Amino acid sequence: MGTILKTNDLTKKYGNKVVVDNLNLEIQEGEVFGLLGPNGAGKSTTMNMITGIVNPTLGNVEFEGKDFKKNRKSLIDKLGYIPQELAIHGNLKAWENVELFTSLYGIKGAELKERINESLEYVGLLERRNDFAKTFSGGMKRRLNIACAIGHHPDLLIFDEPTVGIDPQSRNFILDKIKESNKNGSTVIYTSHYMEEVEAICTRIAIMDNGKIIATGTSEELKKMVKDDISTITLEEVFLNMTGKKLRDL
Amino acid sequence: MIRYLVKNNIKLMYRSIINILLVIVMPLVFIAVLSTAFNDLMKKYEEGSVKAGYILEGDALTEEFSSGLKTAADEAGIEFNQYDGDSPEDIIRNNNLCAVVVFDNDSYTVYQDNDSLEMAKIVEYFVNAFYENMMAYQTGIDTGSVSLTVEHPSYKPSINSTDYYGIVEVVYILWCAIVCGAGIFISEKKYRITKKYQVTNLSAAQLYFAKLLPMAFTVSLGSIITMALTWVLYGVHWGKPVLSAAILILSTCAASAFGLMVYSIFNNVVATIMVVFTFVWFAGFYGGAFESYMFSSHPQRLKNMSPLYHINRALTELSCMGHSDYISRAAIFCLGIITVCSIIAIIATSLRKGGKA
Repeated sequence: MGTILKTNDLTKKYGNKVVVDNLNLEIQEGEVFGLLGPNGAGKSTTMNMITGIVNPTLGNVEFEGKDFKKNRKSLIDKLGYIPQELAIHGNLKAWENVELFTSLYGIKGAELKERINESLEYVGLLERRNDFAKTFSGGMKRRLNIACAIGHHPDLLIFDEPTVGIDPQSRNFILDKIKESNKNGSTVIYTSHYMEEVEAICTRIAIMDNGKIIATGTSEELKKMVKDDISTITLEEVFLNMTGKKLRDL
Repeated sequence: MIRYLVKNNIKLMYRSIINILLVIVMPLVFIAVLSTAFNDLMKKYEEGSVKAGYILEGDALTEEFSSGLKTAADEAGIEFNQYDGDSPEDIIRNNNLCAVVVFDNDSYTVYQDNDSLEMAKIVEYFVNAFYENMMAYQTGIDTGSVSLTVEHPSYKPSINSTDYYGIVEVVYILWCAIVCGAGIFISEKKYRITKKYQVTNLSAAQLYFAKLLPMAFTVSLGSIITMALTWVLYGVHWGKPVLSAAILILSTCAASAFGLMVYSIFNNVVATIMVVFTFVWFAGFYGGAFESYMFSSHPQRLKNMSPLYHINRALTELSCMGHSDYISRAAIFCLGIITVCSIIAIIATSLRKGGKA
């Protein structure tokens, strides 16, 4: 398996403030890569630079070995971005939301119809395809948000905190679907505050703080960095040990 | 690529009851209020209600010509009666006339009512044409007939308040088209949908047209429905309906382009609505949306600067005269606005950080 995504000295500055500082990441094809970090660590800015929403101040992103910015037109269709926000129109029906976003990748006609049904079925919303999104519960909206990003069959799925504010059943469903997508060949980048989620689905985890990656490895490897007996330590304890217990939202 | 985006944006617009209320109901309310309020003022101006008098002094006209004068006036829709005895001023005041013409041996004087100057101009125009014709006849030049048809000065169409406000209020409201897009703009910003558009190959121009086309379509359709409703409910005459509808559609495209340009610059719905509404108010103020452009004393230069003036004039003249020299001006104004605003909007969208697709 080769490297699907690589960041080279990726840096983002807002004025004098360095939000992301010389970030060097390598995501391997077929892995579920978790990015953990406290609020303000630079996770979302990193995601925004990877997806091209924000231009980096320095450095670049390579996707499938090519400079992403220079080859954006041919590479963008291979990305599926599920933002933290529920990026769906409440006044559109479920299938219309999926149609809108899937069509933006050049899919049309009968194929588009097929993809709409496939995406809705994948997230368990096929039976509610004709209902307006505004009538959905929080968990259903999250699932629809995912359906809107997978219709074009992307190679790399980027989930930015996709389970915020939903019930355990919906969370479990989403996590299962992410694992299923990965089994079907998709590479996944997953950011979250929920340690148990990351531990459950990610094959490799990076802990980010103050714009820098402070540790990378499997869950076990990270635990070992803090304590030899990994059975007595949780990922959350590792996280707090590495990033400190000081509140970040002051 | 944007076909489905356009289609769904149209659905979003039509699913907002506010849009329907704004585009269809608001003009109907405005028309009812304004046409009633200005009914008396404009009634004096209606075709066929031009009342004038004349006085013959000396050997000015023979009975034969007097009769010809009355016949020609009747045909021109002017009630033209002979008076004598009182002064012209008294005759105007006592008989509620817009003008009195005193014919002398080889000249005539037009006395005008200050409150009816517009109609008095019509009388003056008619008498001038008749007098020249008569002089030509007396000197042996064959003029064909003494019966004249008055061509009302093109800048003063005779139109009643219902027709006038029935037309200009539809135009005024359609220029507030940006409100129809507000729901989409708010939704896109609130739920960061624009962020998702950035993870696609949508260009700034495609994003722009994906909003312009639905807005223009939605407001145009609403305006055409309103146009039909004004005809059914108020009996508003739209002159040549197909041509009038085409002007309305072109105006809608211009209004949508203008609103989107402002939104592209400010990237804020509230600021956009405030700027657009302020512009439309001033454009309407000088363009005849409140006080009719025929009676307003605004400088002509300011009127000419208002796109609504050209559109209103083209439509009202079509309504009352069946033709207008302002159709081409209105079209040029609209096409110019569409072109300039689209270019600025696309550039602004491209330059805006985070708006770049």
